[in-house]
Amino acid sequence: MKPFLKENFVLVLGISLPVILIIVFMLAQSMTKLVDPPQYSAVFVLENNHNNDMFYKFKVKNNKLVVTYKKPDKEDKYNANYNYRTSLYIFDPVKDDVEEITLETPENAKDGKWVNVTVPNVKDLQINPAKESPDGYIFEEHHRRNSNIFSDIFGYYSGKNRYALTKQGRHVPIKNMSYTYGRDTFIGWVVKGENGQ
Amino acid sequence: MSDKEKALGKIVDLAEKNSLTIDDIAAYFVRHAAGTPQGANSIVMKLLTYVGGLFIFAGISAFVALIWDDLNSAARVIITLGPGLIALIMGLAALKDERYIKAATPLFLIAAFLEPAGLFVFLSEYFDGDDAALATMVVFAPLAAQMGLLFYAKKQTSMLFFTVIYAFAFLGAAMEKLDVDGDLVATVLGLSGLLISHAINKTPHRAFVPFTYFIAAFCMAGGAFALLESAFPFDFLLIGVAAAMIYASVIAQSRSFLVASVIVMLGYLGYYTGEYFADVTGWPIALIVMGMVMLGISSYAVKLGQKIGNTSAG
Repeated sequence: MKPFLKENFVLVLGISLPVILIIVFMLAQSMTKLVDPPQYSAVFVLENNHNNDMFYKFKVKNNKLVVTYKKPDKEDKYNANYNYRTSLYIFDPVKDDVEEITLETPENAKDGKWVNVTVPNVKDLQINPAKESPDGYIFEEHHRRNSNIFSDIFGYYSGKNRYALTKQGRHVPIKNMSYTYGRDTFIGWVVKGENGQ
Repeated sequence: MSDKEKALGKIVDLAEKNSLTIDDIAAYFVRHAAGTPQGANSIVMKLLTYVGGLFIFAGISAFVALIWDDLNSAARVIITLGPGLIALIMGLAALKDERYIKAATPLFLIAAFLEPAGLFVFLSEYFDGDDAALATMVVFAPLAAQMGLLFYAKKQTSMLFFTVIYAFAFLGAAMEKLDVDGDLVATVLGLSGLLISHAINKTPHRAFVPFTYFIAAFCMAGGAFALLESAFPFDFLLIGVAAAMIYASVIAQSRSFLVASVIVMLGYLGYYTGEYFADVTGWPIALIVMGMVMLGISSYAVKLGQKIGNTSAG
């Protein structure tokens, strides 16, 4: 063994370097498992909007989500052509499940006036709009690239994993969203109703 | 000992007696083969054969792309992974017959591209995963093992090359999966690639080493630059990195490594002038100094290259 190592020291070193790095990071990542998993569902919005106009507004008032909508003053060709949509997401970290609620244009919408929109699945939820959940997690963009040079070369696409709940190095990615592009707005944490306490 | 081995022994003896390198012998062969009418015909024939093969391959690929949307999942996997496996088997079969031995490497090349493509298609069609890093690991781990075992059995240089590429793809994806910073990944894999290239350079399978030296050198230098850029005073370590690379290229006696190292050195010097001297009145002087340094380094690099050429075939 020793003569082999002596003879092939450069080769062994070349193979060992990345392996050592992987082991170090595996150990570091296993430490983050000591952090308690998240318990509270996160509510956030994605607007697939091709300009800066805001048609929906989201506000938490007395722990309830208030959604208002204003019909655009004039027809927006870009958004008409590019399938503009606004979706409200509820991510349940306990079940590792994400629910998408696509907001429909309210029938009573009038030009230039803000009208309330009732979202059935959300109206009974109590929401805490704090940036940090009661158990210390925050909602943020997950910066890991979802492709690499080889997946790009061989045309393997996976771009549905953009957000995560994070705390002290522990990342809980939000998977299986139907789309992940557009402007995001974090609403808050479900503290009562569904899995909230 | 076979006649072929005896002849090779004589050639080595003659080369040693007359201080001839492998490059000298190869260059002589190429010169004299191209000079004869038979050699010229052979080159034209080879060229046309390669171009013809490429056209057929491109045509089949374009046809598959045209009908891709009409294929179901199983058909998509079969049409990508299937030819990859067939090319691999044909390549192995070609190795057994002297008449087709030259076809083996192109067949392995086709297999090396189609097998991962087929496995990625398989994952994409049958699994709902959302993780490119994991997919890359799943694809390249078995392929690296496959090529490694084939290299162990057949001792073909192309198999070693793909073993290295696949293994690096797997390691890079594993690091990506662990959220290791991309700059650190590039630095470590680049350094590892240089060391492994150095080890392979001492074996008969050194044909691809100039390429891997070149890529690994840029990978490491790029990673180091991204890690240290604008981090005063640590960014001055970059000049040490470039100097160490030039020194290592001389030790390794590799021209491609030297060329990459010199480009890296010039790039780093460009960074220093832009970062620290761009807004001062001495900028034009800095440019002149930079130009003189470039001339000096290029002259030194040419001398080193000649020295490497005289001492080795690297």
